Amino acid sequence: MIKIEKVTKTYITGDQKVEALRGVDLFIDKGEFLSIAGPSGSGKTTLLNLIGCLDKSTSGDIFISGENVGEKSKNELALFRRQKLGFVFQTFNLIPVLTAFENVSFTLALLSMNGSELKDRTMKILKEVGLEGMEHRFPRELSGGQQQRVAIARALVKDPDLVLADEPTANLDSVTGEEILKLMENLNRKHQTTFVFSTHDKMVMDHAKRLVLLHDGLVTKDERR
Amino acid sequence: MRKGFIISLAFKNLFRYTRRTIITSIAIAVGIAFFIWIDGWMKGIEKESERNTIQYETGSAQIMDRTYWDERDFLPLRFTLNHPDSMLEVLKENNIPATKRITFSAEVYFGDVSKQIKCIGINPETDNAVFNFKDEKVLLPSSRYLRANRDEIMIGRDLAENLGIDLDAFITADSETGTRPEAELKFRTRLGAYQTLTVKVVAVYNTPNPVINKAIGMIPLDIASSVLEMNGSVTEIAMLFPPWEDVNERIKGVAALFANTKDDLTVMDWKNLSGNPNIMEGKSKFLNIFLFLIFVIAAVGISNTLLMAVFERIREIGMMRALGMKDSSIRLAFLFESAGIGLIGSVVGLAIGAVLNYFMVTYGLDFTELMGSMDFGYRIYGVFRATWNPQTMVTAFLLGIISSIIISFLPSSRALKMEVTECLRYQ
Repeated sequence: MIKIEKVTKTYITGDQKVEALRGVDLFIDKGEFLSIAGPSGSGKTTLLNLIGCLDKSTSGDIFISGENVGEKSKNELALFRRQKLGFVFQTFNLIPVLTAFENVSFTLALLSMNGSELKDRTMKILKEVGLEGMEHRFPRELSGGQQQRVAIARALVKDPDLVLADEPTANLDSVTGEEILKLMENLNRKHQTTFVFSTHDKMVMDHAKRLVLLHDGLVTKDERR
Repeated sequence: MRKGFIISLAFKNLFRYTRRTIITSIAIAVGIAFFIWIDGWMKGIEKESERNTIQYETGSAQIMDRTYWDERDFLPLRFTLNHPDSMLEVLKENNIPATKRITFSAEVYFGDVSKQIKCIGINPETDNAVFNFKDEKVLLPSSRYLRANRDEIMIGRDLAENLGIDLDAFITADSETGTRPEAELKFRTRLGAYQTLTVKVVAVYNTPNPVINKAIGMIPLDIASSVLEMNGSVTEIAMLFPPWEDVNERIKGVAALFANTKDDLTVMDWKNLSGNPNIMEGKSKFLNIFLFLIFVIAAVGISNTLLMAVFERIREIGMMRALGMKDSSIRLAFLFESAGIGLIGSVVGLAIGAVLNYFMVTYGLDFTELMGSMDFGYRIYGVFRATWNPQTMVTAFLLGIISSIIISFLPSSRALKMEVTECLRYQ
């Protein structure tokens, strides 16, 4: 489903060259629940950004659902992300002026969906993430865990091929973090949606079905459980 | 993505920072209110000045000898219209109200005081068809309009005061039987001889035109013709056109009426007759610069507010772009938001501007004490009133919205130039 071949990423800041990824090879199958782990500066966020089509590699190729994303233009990448990818961010990144329902349905509106289909799909996913009855609440009226549930619902409502989560529990307490991970596990099992998340939290790593360890821009361990 | 959703998002963001939206809207509103107020005021002054020039000073246009016009500063009586009555007939046939006049330079003496004035010989029978000196509001109490073939003069209130005429005594005396002050006019005839004429001051007028009040005296035309040895010729024929008609077109029409005469005539409009026609254009340019500055100040305010709004939402913008929202849709959302601020500011500005203008139209501002008899190039005295200008109101309203939209391009473009990952990392 995702094929990463000899991917490198070099950042140039002034006179300095920083090699964030130095030739990563990875294959991720459909339905995997994979964690990319490693210390700060190991390149996990960079790799996640490349898989999420938010950034372009310096060299190497990334294939998602058979398409070489490196060959796509900026607008094509935006369309690709809109149709096939879901994102969960560390800081939730909900739109504060929209309700939980509107935040989730936002991704469907991007796909020009409206009417009863939009409503039904949004309500269904909100129920699945345990937010039934809270759909009219604004982000400020929700706890951190509830906000992350809205973010997960937003990522999954369009039934994407892949959900990318950057440190999804980093802003949550351990109990809430555990709940969120269990929720993602359940959704992964139920929808067979591929989940790739970055973390340096041991609890998150423990939940992963596959753990890829990065160090200094190279994969140092790839463990299936 | 549906426009309805983008508009809805923009509308919600509009009330996200209510205080900021209000402050920016106030900046726009103040700009627009000023625009309407100042423009209405200036237009009102211009319009009233135009009316006062036409009604008391020049008429809509005048026919005169071309050389007389070229040397008008010296009021040369040798370059005149020699057949004014036949010309008046032609004008009458064409339904153009007109009157003949003789304008000459004179010195007026009252006791020991003397003043250089422009004296005008007017036909008391026909002058009122073009000018407005017969109006009771214009003449001070106990004044009597000129009568033909009498040695009498009408002078402006400022001139009367400057000559030391006791106006209190004048207005309380009987216009027919009361004692009238006597003045002496000294001037040169058409042939260059020095002449003196003793005249009774039968009327003092107080027109809304300070130029007329300050240095103009009027005597009956037949007396002027006689003492100046004009032999029936006059210096000009003044005409009045309906205000809704294009003066330039009418001038062309009048010129065509006398194209075949032997005399070398010219027809001049009131703007040229009243002085430098560029004065008003210059003032309009100044007004435009002033209004432009008001909008620059408002634009800086809007730009600053939107810049803050955009940079506070960089991560949100990054998220929306990550989810696949097109940059053009994000820009559109900001444009709608700015248009919303512009709309609120424009509506409020229009309302404030209209209220200010209402008071300026109804009551005006009284500059009598401040200005005295100064005219600043405008023929207005005392109270400055505004006029309603719907075109300016619509322009200001649209300008408020359009400029807000244009100004929003810069901050939203700056945000959209950043990479998505950079936006998501933004602190």
